Order: sequence, then structure tokens, then C-alpha cells
Amino acid sequence: MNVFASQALLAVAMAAMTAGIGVHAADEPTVEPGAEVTATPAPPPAKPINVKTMFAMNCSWCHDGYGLHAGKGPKLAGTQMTAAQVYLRIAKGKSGMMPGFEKTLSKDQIDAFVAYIKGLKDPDS
Amino acid sequence: MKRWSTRLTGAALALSATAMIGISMQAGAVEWDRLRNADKDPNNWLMYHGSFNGHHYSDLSQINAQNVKNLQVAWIHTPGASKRGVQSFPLAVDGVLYYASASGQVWALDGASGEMVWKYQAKLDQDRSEGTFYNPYTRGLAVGYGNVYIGTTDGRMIALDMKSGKVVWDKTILTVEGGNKGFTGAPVVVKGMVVIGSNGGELSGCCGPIFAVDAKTGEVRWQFDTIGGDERSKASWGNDSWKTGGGGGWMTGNYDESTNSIWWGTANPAPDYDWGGDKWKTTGARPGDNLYSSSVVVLNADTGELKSWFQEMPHDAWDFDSAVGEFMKIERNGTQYMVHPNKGGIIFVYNADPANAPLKVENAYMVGKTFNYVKGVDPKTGQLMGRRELPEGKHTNVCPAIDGNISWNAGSYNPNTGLLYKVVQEWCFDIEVVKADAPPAFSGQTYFGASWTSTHPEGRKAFGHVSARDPLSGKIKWEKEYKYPPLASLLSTKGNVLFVPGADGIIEALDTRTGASLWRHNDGIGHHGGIITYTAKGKQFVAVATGWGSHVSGNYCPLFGEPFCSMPTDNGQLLVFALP
Repeated sequence: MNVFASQALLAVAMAAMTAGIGVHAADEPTVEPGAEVTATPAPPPAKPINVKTMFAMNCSWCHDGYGLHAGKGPKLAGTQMTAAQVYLRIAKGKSGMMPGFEKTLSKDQIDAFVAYIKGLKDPDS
Repeated sequence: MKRWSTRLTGAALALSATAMIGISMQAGAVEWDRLRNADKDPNNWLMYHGSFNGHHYSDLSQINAQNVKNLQVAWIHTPGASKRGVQSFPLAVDGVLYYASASGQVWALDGASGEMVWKYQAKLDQDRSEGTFYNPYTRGLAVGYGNVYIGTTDGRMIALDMKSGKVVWDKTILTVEGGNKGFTGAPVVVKGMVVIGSNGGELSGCCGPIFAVDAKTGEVRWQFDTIGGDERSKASWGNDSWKTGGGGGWMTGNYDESTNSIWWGTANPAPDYDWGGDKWKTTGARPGDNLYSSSVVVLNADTGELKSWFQEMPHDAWDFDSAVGEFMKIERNGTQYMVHPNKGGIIFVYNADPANAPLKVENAYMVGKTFNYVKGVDPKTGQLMGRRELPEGKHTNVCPAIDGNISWNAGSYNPNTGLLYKVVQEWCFDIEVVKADAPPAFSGQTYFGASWTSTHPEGRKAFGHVSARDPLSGKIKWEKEYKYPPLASLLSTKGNVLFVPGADGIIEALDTRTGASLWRHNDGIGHHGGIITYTAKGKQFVAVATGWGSHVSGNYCPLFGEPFCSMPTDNGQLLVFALP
């Protein structure tokens, strides 16, 4: 594991978040880690969804480094799953591996996660 | 969760089958006298910790340091799919072996041959059972009064007839509206009651209860709330934060008959992690000490009333909770001690007299080698020295990682050598604490705010070690380093054998006196469950659970690579060894 490289990437990601970068979700968006994402379609959320905070609250137990590294769960950056598959995995989970979040996260929040994950650049590629 | 309990509670929905294999059941009655004297009954393994001494030790010596090299597989039982492996401790009663696999499966097997006697499959609420990130495994069973008891991940307690596996009672004990709390730890039978603690230190809600239910009816006899249950606790959570404070007691505690006391270790507070930093006493999500999280509580066994406590991790900032279930009772020079490890890698030696409130700490010592979250522990007071808080929004390298220097796997105390054998794991993580939004009070939703990456200790790869030490002073007699930290429980015997089920699938027998390796066998998959010994038809057997996939084990692929990246996480077996 190249810890230093990954930390550098994460630092870039955090800088992007600090700068308040926001994008609209799409099927295959490019979003830097930690960026604020305003989910679509309408109705718009009451406030911007902070993906970094959401990730820390829901995903970090298993997915290391905001999804940049393999942890107890797989590395999310560079996933080969389609956006629709990522959505389904977050919503429904995977039995014995990952809980589903459809009862605790809104569709907009899951959309934001999908945009974030599909936008992650694989630090190992 | 009334909807769930209505739908699921009751024998009508439970599946139970008695195998038609034509062997006679030999299980005898397990009444209270037998349980309280389990330490004098080495032919059987009657409870999770072996006996109320909590030593994980056996007086059997047919298998010993001289002949253990001849040990071989006697039989194997494969339960089929077992999500996150088989993590439970088997129990052995009069030639019949009982164990649990994931998702509420219970097996009764002939202890000599492995032939199935009966199987039970609880019908679980899958949404609830798998609604958290540490389900749906179970760590074991209890036996008593003709029944086998299991707690389920959807908050139920179930009693099964020992002879048939049929449901005697099935009660929803724990309901958290909108949440996912349940039971993963093994219950323990105490004086006509079945005692079990809830999981969910990271889950918003109150109050992380420990329950005692009537062994014959399943009715709740008492409930102790590990947080928010008394004014002392409430006062230690600023801004009424106990309402979202987590707590719990997810591993199996113990009973001390000399004082009629339940000893139980409690879970961490929520949120996990707090952002109060150095000012945690007055700011952050949960200002204050957060009693009785990350503590030891001593309860009146009859009433559940709190007799005494000691908070091992005041305002636990690291998720190094005290829910590790070991309470080893040791007498020396006329004084009774209770030895208890916690995730932070501290072994506390308490005076076993709960008349001291808080408990009197006779000694406390660190067993980790790479820790940096504190400078140490005061051996006279048990207070942490040189705390290192985790500031919000900054990356901090913390050792050990969230998984702790000590996990929930039990060590072993051998009264013949006078030594405590214990596994310690050594790795770290780079963590950033993030201010989490609070879920609704009493919701049971995850209350968690951090991101991290597991790392190796400075200057070397992650590793583990098994040490033999005086349990009271901590002085090391011998130590053996492991490339891959073992995650299973240990077993030592009068035959001077210490069994160490390894992470890579190798089970090893060491000489209890020297640590010399006596025997190794590849079980084909990692271990992170229990190990016991017993006799059936006059012959000594050693039974060990295999299977991989716990959350702690999830670190091994990123830390070590293979064989862990290819190790299945959805199965396991029960392997039973004997001499030819």
C-alpha cells in the first residue's frame, strides 16, 4: 500500500472540498473526493449534500480513505460497477457483507454517493 | 419494531428438525448446581467461558505436550453458508456438541462422531439482522434447564429443547424503533435466568441494555441500561447526549458466586468518534465521561442493580471499549481478583469485591507494543496517562487502529502454570474525525463520524503476538510473535498444551511452559471463533470453529495481501481433533 501517494490524493480531494466545488450528478460524472454534490433531479435538497460528511457517517466503517483504499470493504475508486449498479448496492446492500441504506438515506443522498464514487480516481492506476 | 415482533415471534414460524439418524440423545440435565460447578467438570464445556472462573482452561490431559504431535482430525461438520464465518464457541454436554453458525442456525451433533442430532434455523428479520455493518454472525449459545439459548441479531432470545431442537419459547426482547440493535454475543445462564447484552455502541439510541430473562419462560426479569439508567450516568453526558449515546455490552460477561454479582464489559459511546478534542469535558457531541460506556459494571445478579463499576476509558475517544467479555477470577494469597482486558490493550486487575465503588484497581498494565493513543496507564489507579485526543478535520495516525490491541477473542489462564495466555494485535490507522449529524434520539441509527485507512506500525509490518504472563503483575514468561495476528480464542489444558487457532488457517499447539511449537495443522481457512475440549465416550476431543469474515479480519487483505484477499467470508466449519 502506497500510503503517501494515497494521502496526497486525499489531500487534493480535501482541498477541493474546502474550495466548495459542487457539481450536478449525472450517469458518469467526474467528482473529486469530498466535493459537495447537489443531487438531481428535482426537487432539489434543502441544502447541499456534503458527501464527505455522509461518507464518514455511513461508509467509513468498511471503506477506507473516503473510498480511495481497500479496507474491510473493497476500494471504491475505479469500481467497474455501473452507476445503476452502485445505486442498487447502496440501496439494497449485499447480504452478509454490507447493509442496505434505502431506509436511512434519501434518493438524492444515494444519487450523490453514486456520483461521488463513480467520480473517484483510482490512486493505484 | 412491533411489526417485526408480531410477524416473527412464536414457535409457529421457527424451523426445527430432528435428524433421523438413529442415535440416542445422551444430554443430561443441566441445572444450576451443575453450571456453578462447571470448573470441576472437565468432560463438558457448559458455557461460553468454560466455567464461571472464566479461565478458558480444561483439566483434561489425555491430549498432552508429549502426544499432541499425533493429533488428527476426528470429524468435520460443515454448516453450509455462514456469513462472516463461524465465530461461535461450541458447547459440549454429555457427549453432545452444540454450536451456532451465522443467521440463527443452531446445531446439535454427536460429540464422538459428528453425526447430526438436530438442526434449528431461526427465521430472522433480514432487514434488521443485516441492517448494521457487523451482522448477522453469532458468537455462541448457552445451555441450562433442558434448553439451548441463542440471542438473535433481530433482538430476540430463543430457547430450544436440548433433546429435540424444538422451540420452547421465542421472545422479542430488544426493540429499537427504526433501528437495528440486536444480539451477537452468547448468553450466559445464571440462577434460573439467561443474561445477554445488546450490540450497538455506534448506534444512536438508548440505553445499550443488558437483560436477564427467565430461563423457563423468556420473560424479562431485569434490564440494566449501560447508559442513561441513573442520574450519575445522565450527568456525565452533556446536553442530554445519552439519548443518542449508544452503549451496549456485546460480548459475554461472567458471574461471581462469592458476591452474587454479574460482571459485564460495556461498549463504546456514540458518536464514534467525538469531535470535542482536548475540550471533551465541555464541548463536542457528548461532553463528559459518558458513564457507563467503555466500563466494567458489576450488577446484583438477582435484580440487575448496579453494585459497582469502573470506567476504563473515560470519554472513549478511540472506540477502545471494554466489551471484551473476559473476566478471569484468580485467587492469590487470600485475595480474589478479577482480570479484565479491553480493546485498548490494557489489562485491568480488579479487587473482586464490589463493595468498593468504583471498583478497586489492584494493577493495570499495557500489553500492546505500538500504542500511541495514550502514554500509558497508572497501575495504581487505572487512569489513562497522556491521552491523545483526535481533533476534527485533521489526519492523525493512531495505534492501535479501531480494531484495538485486543479483540473480543478470549485468552486463557492456566492455574497449573499460573500464566495468562493472550493474543495481541498490532496495527494502526490514519484517521480523520468528521463532525457527524446526530440521528434522532432513540433511533438506533448509525452515529458515526470518521474516515480512516489502516496502516502498519512505524518501521515495521503489522504483526501479532501471544504472550504468557503473570496475570496480576503482567510480567512476561514467554512470548511468540505471529506474522498474522491470531483472531481466535485460546485454550490451555492440564496437559500443558496451549492451542492457538491462527488467522491463516494454521492451528498450532504450544507448550504452555515454554511456548515451544508442538503441533501444527492447516484447517484450510482462517479462525476467528471459539475452541473447546471435552470428552465423548471416554475420549478427549478438541473442537475449533473455522471461517473468516469478521470486521477485524477485514483488515488482513489490505495489510497482508494473500492468503487473506482470497479467503472466503461466507462459510466455515467445525473441526474436531482427537488422538488416533
